[in-house]
Amino acid sequence: MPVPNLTLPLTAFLILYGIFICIYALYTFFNAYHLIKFGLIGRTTRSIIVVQAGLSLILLIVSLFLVTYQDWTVTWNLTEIFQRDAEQIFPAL
Amino acid sequence: MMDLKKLPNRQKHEKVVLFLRRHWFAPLTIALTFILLIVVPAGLVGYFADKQHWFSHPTLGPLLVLAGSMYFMAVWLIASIEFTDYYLDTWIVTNERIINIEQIGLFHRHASEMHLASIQDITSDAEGFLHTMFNYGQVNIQTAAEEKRFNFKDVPFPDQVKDTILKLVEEDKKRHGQK
Repeated sequence: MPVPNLTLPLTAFLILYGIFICIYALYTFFNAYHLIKFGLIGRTTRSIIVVQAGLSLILLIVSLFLVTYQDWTVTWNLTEIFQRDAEQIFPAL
Repeated sequence: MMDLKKLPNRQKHEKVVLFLRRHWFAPLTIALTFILLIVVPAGLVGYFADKQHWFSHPTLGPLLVLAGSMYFMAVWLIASIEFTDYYLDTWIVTNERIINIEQIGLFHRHASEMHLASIQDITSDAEGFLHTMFNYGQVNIQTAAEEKRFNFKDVPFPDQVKDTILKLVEEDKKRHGQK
């Protein structure tokens, strides 16, 4: 019986990354919102908001840059991986 | 933003005497944890220098970059939320009342106030080596109000805070003609 050829494109992991980025952006926004709404008026609070929002944005940009720099067109051949692993565990196969 | 000169329900001649947050140990703990969680994985990457070629692997490389960036972003996000939690926990003592504001996570905020006249008992407590060395601890206020107890957690100089509040209570009683 022929073994079906199972492949997994690496772009599937970008969906997970996209969900993570949405959650990250949402929480960063609410973090800044709470500081703006409930923080004590003054230079310290403003500096904290700028630093937190700024660093969050920098991390996001660096992450997006590193991720877009990768080649996501590669496909994982799961059949090959499973067969290879099975042969290593069960050499007679 | 909150303005101490424009507190809600501000009475005439009311002025802020104490504005308290938790001791600086709280943000220091957050910072140290954050640094540890950043430095340890970065150090591991440097330690396993002979495995650097994994990043150029066609399938493993992109996944390592994805996992790594998600990890560092998550650590930063958690650290910044914890810091906001610390920063928004405040206790404001005026010559008329005490306002207790507690930020519990990002979507839960608890604010209560009590008038000095309803204070029945105040205790301060600095337990532990670090609390004793750095002079910070709890101040517990027992009241006759709906919220029976106010607890100032890990505030600096708890004894001085207790004494200041006691003095304010006495002055409030004299001002309002109570014995």
